[in-house]
Amino acid sequence: MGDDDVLATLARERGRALFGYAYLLTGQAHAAEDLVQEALVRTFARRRVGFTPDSAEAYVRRAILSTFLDDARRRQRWSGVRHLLGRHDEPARDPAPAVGAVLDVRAALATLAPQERAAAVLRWCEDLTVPEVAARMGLAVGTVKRYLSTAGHKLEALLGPLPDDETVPLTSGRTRP
Amino acid sequence: MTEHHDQPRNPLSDALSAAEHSAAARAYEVPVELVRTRARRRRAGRTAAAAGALALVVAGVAVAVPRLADGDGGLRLAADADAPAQCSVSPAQIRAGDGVVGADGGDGGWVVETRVVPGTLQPARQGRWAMAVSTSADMQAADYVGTPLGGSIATSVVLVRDGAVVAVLDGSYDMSLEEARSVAVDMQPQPFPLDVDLAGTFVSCETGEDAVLDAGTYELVATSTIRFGLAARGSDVPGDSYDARSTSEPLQVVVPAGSSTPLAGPTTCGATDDELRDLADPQTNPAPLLLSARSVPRTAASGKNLSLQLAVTNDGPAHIDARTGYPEVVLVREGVVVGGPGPIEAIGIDLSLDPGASTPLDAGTLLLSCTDDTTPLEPGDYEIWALSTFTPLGPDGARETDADDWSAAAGPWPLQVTGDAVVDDQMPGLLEMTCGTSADELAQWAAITQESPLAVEATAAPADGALSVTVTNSGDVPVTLLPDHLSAGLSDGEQVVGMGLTAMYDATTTTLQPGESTTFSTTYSDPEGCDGPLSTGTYDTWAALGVTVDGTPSTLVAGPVPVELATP
Repeated sequence: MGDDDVLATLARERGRALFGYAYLLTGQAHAAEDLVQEALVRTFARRRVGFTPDSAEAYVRRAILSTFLDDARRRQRWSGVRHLLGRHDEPARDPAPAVGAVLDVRAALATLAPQERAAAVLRWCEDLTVPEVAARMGLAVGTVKRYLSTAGHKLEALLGPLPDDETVPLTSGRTRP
Repeated sequence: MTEHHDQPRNPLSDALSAAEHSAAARAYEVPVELVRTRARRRRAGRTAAAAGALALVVAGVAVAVPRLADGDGGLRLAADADAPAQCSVSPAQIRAGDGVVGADGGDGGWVVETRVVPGTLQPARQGRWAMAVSTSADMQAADYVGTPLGGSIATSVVLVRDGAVVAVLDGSYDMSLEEARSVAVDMQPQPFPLDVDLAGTFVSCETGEDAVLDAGTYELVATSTIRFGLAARGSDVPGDSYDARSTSEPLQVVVPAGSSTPLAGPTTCGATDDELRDLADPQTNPAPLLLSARSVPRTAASGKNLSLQLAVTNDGPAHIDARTGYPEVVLVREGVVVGGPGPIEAIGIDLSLDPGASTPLDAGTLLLSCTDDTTPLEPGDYEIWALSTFTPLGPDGARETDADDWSAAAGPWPLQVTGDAVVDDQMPGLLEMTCGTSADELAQWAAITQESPLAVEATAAPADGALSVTVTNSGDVPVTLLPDHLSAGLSDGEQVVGMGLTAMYDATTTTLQPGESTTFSTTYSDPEGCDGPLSTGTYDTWAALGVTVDGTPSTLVAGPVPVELATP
């Protein structure tokens, strides 16, 4: 299957899933659209051999995460600088809106800092282990635990109890040859 | 699906599904054609961009990226999908979009001018150009009190000949005023003039690929979109903001015959290995981070993946925090890059290294010719080189503002590329043997393993605490193995009820010549039952070896080996 076909298939069959992933990370639809598009461009600009929709999706998801984190780091750099324009794309950190909609998970995630949000999505939405989250984010396990601890406290205040971080999955998925 | 017992319900477990089926997601469609176009464009510029040839180096450049596909103000596609958007308009149309607009719709009396700084211009028929674009702002009635501060949001540079745009500086972006008003930017305001240093290759409007220009006279036109405001005296915070788009007067530029700059970057296809050698030599490369090999195969099959493990070491006297990505790996023959770098997943890897400390870096490339990225390399002898770039980070995890990136290379390592694909689809996929894995599934996996070019035999003796797996290359070409782990599962005949061990290997690549064997073994003394202590009796032992075979991750399964557990 050529790259163009893979892209078309991926877009048709998994576009919304990719959007949903980006939507959880960014908290904003427009930002999610941009994130998915940039991740697709990064992926399909680099990889041309041996792609299948399944393997491509994995790379796009990683590109979504890395693009999101890179952007967050850049924003962090300027966080102390007052901007020329008042409008800002960052989701509000004020937890009040989430309290008003107790079960609104996206609103609750939006109260987190970007790195905390990414760690929370990977850990509790994607069900990755802490070491897997660390590997995905390119961070030390201890750093991820700190993010998860902070995120967990914030989220539990809004959403209720979360699973224990030290939980070890009792069964795991397998892939056939 | 992962199960958690005795845990509270995870309120986030359905969040991905909910987001996927949200109204926003249902309304979303991937802009496939736009993605294709952008990917093609980025791919075309990959060679130059990989070496950082396109650079925006100036204070006051907006950090936020404009949204590209948002309604009418977004990216305009040219008739030729591969050509930049600026190719589809005339120079007069480019200038027609100039102006200044504030929140109230007025221009506030501001006049904004853009120019290409003549002394900075470095033209080339083919390859990298360099230039500086300067934008100034002033009031018609120059009696304001305070200091105008601003930043550049976007800059576009085009080459014009005979009244038509013929080439566009790769990566440059022409942002309309309407779009500028709709985007949020993140910048540190700077005093005027706002200078932007640009470097990169031009993209031909005719082909959509890197331009090879005819010698002769052209007009260079730059368009700058900025955001700015007037800061009160003594303040560095501007007040009401304005957006401005300004196009320079054409600057005559002569492209001489024969002028070309070499394609940037030591990993560029066709580049000599001279720069790689310099970057690998501490005598000529002052970078405090060194790249070295931990595990490099000596044989690999043409067209297949080449996996190696490198290490980066802090060779300096101080602690270093830096960000890097997967190293680029190239194949060199007779001193010239002929293969790689393969596709690299673009992720950031943060390093935190005390003096003398090392950390591993995985690397790899497909063994394909770099001329088209699809043709397998000819069998024969090559040299492997690897190159990494490191961005120094400050204590807050942000890039050090005044620091340059470091590059470090490592190599050469000899590689024999064989003509035969060794494993293709003959290897088993991945299996995670764990409690509950059925004996039938393990038997099936063992059968698949035996059909592969590798013969695998397990011996187990829990009473002695020993488990060994012998892997023999039963094929007729060399095979490289990069082991990851070895697990033992004790089955009651139906499913795994106890796990003996999981041994993590310090990954080292082994090359097995045809007929050669290697044994992976470990010891344990206390197999754990999945639901409490194991009772005495006979169990079947299954061995699962996680290993990368010629770049293909695989799980080799062997067994069952009957064992007697005498004590619980």
